[in-house]
Amino acid sequence: MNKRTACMLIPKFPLVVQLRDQPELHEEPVTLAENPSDRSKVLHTNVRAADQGVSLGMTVVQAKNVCPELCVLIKDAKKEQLKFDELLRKLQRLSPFIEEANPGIAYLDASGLKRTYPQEKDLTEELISFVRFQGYPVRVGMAGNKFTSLVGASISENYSYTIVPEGKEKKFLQLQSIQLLPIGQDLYEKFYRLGIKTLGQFAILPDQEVAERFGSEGVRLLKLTRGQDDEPLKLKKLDEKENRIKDLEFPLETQTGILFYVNSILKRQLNGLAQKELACEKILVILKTEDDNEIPIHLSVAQETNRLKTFINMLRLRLEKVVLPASVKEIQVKIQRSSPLSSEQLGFYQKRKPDLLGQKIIQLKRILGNGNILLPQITSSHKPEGKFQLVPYTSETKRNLKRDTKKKSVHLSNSPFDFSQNSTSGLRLYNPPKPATVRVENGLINFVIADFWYGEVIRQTGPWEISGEWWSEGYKRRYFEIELFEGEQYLIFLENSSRKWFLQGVFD
Amino acid sequence: MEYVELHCHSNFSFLDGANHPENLAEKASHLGYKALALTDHNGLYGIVRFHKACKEKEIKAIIGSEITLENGHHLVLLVKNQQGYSTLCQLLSHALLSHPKGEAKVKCKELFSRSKGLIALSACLCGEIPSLLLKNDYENAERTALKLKEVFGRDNFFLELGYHNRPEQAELNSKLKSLGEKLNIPLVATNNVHYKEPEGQRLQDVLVCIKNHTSLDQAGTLLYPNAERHLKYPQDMKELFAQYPVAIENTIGIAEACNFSLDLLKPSLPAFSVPQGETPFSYLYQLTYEGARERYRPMTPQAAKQIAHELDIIQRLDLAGYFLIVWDVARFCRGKEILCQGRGSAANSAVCYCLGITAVDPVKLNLLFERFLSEERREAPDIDIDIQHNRREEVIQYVYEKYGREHAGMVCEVISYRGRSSVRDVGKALGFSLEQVDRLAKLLDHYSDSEEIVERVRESELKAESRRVKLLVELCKEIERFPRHLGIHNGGMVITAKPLSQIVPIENATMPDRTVIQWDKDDSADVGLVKIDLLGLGMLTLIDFAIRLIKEHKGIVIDPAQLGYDDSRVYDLLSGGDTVGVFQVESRAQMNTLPRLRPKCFYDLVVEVALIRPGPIQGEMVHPYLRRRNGEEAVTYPHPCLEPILKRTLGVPLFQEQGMRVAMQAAGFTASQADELRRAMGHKRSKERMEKLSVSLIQGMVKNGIDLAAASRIYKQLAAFADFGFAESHAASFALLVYVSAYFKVYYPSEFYCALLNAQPLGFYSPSTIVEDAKRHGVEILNVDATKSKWDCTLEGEKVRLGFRYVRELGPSAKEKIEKEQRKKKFESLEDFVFRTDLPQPALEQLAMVDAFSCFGYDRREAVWKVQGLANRSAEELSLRNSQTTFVPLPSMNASDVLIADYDGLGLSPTRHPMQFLRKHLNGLGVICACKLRNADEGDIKVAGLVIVRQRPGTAKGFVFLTLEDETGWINVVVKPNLAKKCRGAIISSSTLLVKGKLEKHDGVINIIGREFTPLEFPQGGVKFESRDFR
Repeated sequence: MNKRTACMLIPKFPLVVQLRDQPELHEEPVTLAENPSDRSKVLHTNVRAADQGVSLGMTVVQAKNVCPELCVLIKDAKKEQLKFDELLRKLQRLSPFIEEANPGIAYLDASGLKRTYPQEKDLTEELISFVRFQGYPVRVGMAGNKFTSLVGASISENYSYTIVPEGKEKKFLQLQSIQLLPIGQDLYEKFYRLGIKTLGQFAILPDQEVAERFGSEGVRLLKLTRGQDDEPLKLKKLDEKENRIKDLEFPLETQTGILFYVNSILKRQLNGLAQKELACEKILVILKTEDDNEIPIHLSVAQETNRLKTFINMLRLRLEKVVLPASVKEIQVKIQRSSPLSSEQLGFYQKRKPDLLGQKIIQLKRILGNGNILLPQITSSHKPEGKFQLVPYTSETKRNLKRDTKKKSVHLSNSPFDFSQNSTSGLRLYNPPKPATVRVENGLINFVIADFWYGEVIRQTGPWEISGEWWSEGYKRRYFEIELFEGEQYLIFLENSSRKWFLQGVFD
Repeated sequence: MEYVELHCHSNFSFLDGANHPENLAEKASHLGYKALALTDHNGLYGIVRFHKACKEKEIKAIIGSEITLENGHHLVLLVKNQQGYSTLCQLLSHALLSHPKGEAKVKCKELFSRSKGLIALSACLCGEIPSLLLKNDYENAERTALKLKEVFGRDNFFLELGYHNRPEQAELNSKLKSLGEKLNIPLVATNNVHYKEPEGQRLQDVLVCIKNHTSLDQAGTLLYPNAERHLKYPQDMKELFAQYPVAIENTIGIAEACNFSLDLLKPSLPAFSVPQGETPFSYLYQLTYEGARERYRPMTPQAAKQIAHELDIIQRLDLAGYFLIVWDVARFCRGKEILCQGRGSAANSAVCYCLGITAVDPVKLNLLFERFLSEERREAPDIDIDIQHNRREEVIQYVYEKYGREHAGMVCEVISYRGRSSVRDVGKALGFSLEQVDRLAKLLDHYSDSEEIVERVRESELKAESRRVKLLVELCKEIERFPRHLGIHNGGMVITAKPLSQIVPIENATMPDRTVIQWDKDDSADVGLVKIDLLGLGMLTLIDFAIRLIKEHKGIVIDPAQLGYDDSRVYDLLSGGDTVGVFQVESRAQMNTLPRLRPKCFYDLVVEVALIRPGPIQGEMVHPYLRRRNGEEAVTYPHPCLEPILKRTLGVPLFQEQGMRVAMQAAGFTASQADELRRAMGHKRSKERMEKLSVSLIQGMVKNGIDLAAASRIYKQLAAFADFGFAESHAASFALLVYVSAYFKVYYPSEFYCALLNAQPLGFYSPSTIVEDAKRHGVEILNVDATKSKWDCTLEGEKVRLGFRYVRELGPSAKEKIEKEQRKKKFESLEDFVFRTDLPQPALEQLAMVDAFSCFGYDRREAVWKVQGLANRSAEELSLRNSQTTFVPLPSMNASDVLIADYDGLGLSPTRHPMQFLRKHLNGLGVICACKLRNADEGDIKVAGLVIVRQRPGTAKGFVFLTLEDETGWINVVVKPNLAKKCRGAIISSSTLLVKGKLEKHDGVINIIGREFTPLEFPQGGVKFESRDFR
């Protein structure tokens, strides 16, 4: 039986993955960039953006100049991989032998599928409808080898296919564009200079001359263009065999024994995830007993984690409630859902354990309600009450906090009202400042009423002045430190615009 | 005198001070100060302007600087006397030169050894003593204070108190007082001024943000906490420092002790060594008359009289040495066969003409010598020398070598904020996104002013009514012309007898091995530093190249000075506007004016050069002049008394000299006032100066019987010069080059185009446009050939062979390798070329692609294949493989492939024009080609071509001018402002356009008033064509 390969191609897969999560952007001009920098290059664009003149290779700034309303998404390689793995896992229903070339391109071994799909078009149509059902645009090529099937897929329209009949690979490739060869820009330019625009034009070049100029890579490309791609499929291990322990030395009856084996399987799996900077959200432990019963135990965490102890503790609690009908002869552990690890936290918990903070925050949110978890931030301002603020907790806040910490500390060292730094005065601030009533005689403050206290002023210093933020609301204040008869000391100020007095804080 | 501010920053404390030095002086005077110190950070950049402004306001200018020590702390130094000034200059120079640009740290050791003539103040919170006291480190504070007291002396070191209504300053002042009492060091009060009025806080905050690359929202405590750092009334200062009255009193004592004035500086030129027995004047006299015998044949009585008159004045002003120095530079150039020519007012001098410094005969052209030099002004004249740009460095190095680096230096150029830069920096500070400011900035020209910003904001997507946008506009106005950083002036050199670093601080320039002084050319001139401008001029390079080519190929030696300037064919070419490559008159505006002006003699060229400039255009002088010249309008004069002055230019004032004479004649200005007016007319900062002079000018005219309307009209015309007035002599010098370049184009077109291509980058047009122009003038352009081409373009008979310099991927190292091998022997084969030159693979492939190897029998693709095969092989390996050549079936190139390869590799095509490939298609659309426009009827028309130039002159009120080129010529397209805005995308970004519009003809000038603009695509994907846009 001749070898047949189907190629499944999802065009602009990285962009498609991002857009699947943001359907509201479907009608907008959208582009995908390598990173958030303005100089980052445009990797993919949707039709709407392309219509407005955004093209690949432009910088984000250039693209935005061409299309001001352009929405820029950032490439997320981990997410792409995750989504593609998920799709391939499902695709195994059609063929167990799948090679993943890149996220967005996969080859299926179609050689042995004649019985299920008598016509090749049946398989390609099934493949298209299956992938389409998963929400992806798709093109399919079917040919005697991987490269030809890829070319077939590449020249197809979305949701359509090209089948290259057996033995017709060379003829099919002849007129196809040289741009379909998987080569870098340098090599492509070399071909361009030689006037080689089709695969056929390259295919007829003499072997030795090509080898002299382009080395073994050139020879490989020659074979590809002549339809002689004999590279076998590199099958993707989608189901890890190591996640199962069969034929245990002796059947397990105790919780400790089960936990011991689960521990060893899961540890390996979680390490594997950690290496890919992924973390686990859901785990399925299947215990097969000697009476052939399967007992599934689902474990899930609110915040993804790679902490083995978390899952083992959860399993321990669950096992305490499970009555095993017989001894366990086989254990299987499946990681059902994983996602990228959250960025590193600061403080509270030791480094490299970001998940713990996440879990704690989620617990707090459940108790206090969403939006009531706030993060304290030190800010730089001349206004005493502006030196500190609470912002809603998000992962973005965490990142910003980390980025700004160094800068802010530099600012603070210059602050004239820097009561928090190197200060022995111990000022407790009122935030917002409290209104006060002040009696002034002969330019001196002699009596103050504020909040729940009042008193005669026996000593004052000041005025100190601050003004600023003229670009927004603006402020101008005259500050006084006052001491009352009984020794209490306060910081009060007169707001210039309203001519009203406020109590800013009390000195301990 | 109650109080003197001794610590004051102007905007020459770059991105810190928020006022011009002049504004500070004015404010100080208003507040009743009798003196004011300027203490900018690490420099004396603004002191000349400050000195002048103080003089004008009759207050004493105290020179100083807030220096940064190597430990990062500040110290304020004030100049007491000339020695102190010289010391400060040297301290700053050493600090600046021994650190990277933008940093300056004075070594304490150096400060301790050089302190005479200086007074030191302990500085603001950044000073060492205040910093230590704030940290309660009394021991070290005392040690430092004692050291500084010892260094500067008991009477010359003060502890500086400041008070900006801040608690920490109150605390510090009390500590400083205790320290002063303990160590017997006097106190002095300052306000560390950063702006003249409290309102200046806004701009100062913005400047701080720009400096720290942050926004106002983010800046926080980087900004000063309040608006107290302004010039305050002496009484207010006394009240603020009521606890320290002696600190206020001491400001007066210090001010009285500082008695240095820039007027004392009087830098002199180094003595020029003359032959034994000669004095500088006698030697100049001898050289002048030797030159006169060459220049004036026969000598006329007018010339003799003029020379004698000039020599007399030169002697009386003791300027013979200066003339000899400039003569020496010109002599050096002649000796080295470097083309040079004096420009500007020097061309008014017959002595300069005789010495070979200038090339225009001022006697023949009746030019005004007093514009150049007058006894009344008693100052050195300004002589600018244009030097062929490819050899200017040789001349600069000669000057350095002759006078020594200690005595010669380049003046700086203060790069200041204009439209684009201010929008970018202020916009970012206000928190606008990079894209927003970028988009707005791109709507502006580099030199747009704040008024234009208002206009452009309306065009941009920014909401003009929002508070931040309003602030943006306001602050851009305020920051306009603020210095941002220093650049190098493009040729100004100063030479001094004393070491330069004793006269002005010197600092590193961005360019390696270059240093600049801290003053620009105007400030240098104001102080009396004698400057020689050694300017690079590309046209002189072209002329030099052309002269050499003509001599080499035709054996004819051309001396531009002997051309006669009356050849009718030259004037015919100019009258036809056929001026691509011709100096000064190749812009579209000039090309359109030439057929209307129809120059017939040399003076017409002088007028043409001066006419199409922003000044005359804004002053609405162009059309009246043209109408009068063509007899469409009567020649009238604003007043009969002006007829003798304006007759030569048909009653329309065009030249600075006329401006001077008008002011003297009509408004009764003295020569000195007229000269001030002249300076204002040709000055960057002239608008303000012109406005100041306006009142007395108009009043003077009215007093002389000219009615107010006419007086205002005359003033308006003169004020227009403020943008860039032209001296008649300068125009004459340039007109000379116009004539010479046009002469070469008429009589030696092959040499002209060859020289023009070798002198690139030069002028208005890309090499591709020049090549197309050459083809239309019958000059055949030959492609690069590995055996025949040199690095530069060469002549083969009357054909121009492109040089290797035009092949992209070939740089200076390729030049060296190719020329070295060419000197050895001719290249015999492709292999020989590849192995001997050892060029990198991309360069060889590029040569193959542009057909440079056809001489070895390979077509382009075969050559590429061959070159690819030779990569990484030795000659020995190759000899083994020679016999095994295999046929390789590569696709052959069609004509459009050839064109694309040429544009890719050369940026031009020696053979075809890209539009030829679209012609069939365009004919089908009814598109007319350029050559048929002359005979086409006025009315609706379709044209198409490559967009070779896009222009939107500031004077054109939003009109955009496109120049299209097809295979037969050029098409002028005018785009009205509303359409320019509407069709901006197509107009800006398409390399090829189809334009539907209306054909209009006027005085031989053909324009298409564009209506629709459609981008055109080339069948093969297009050519890489670079247009010259908005220059």
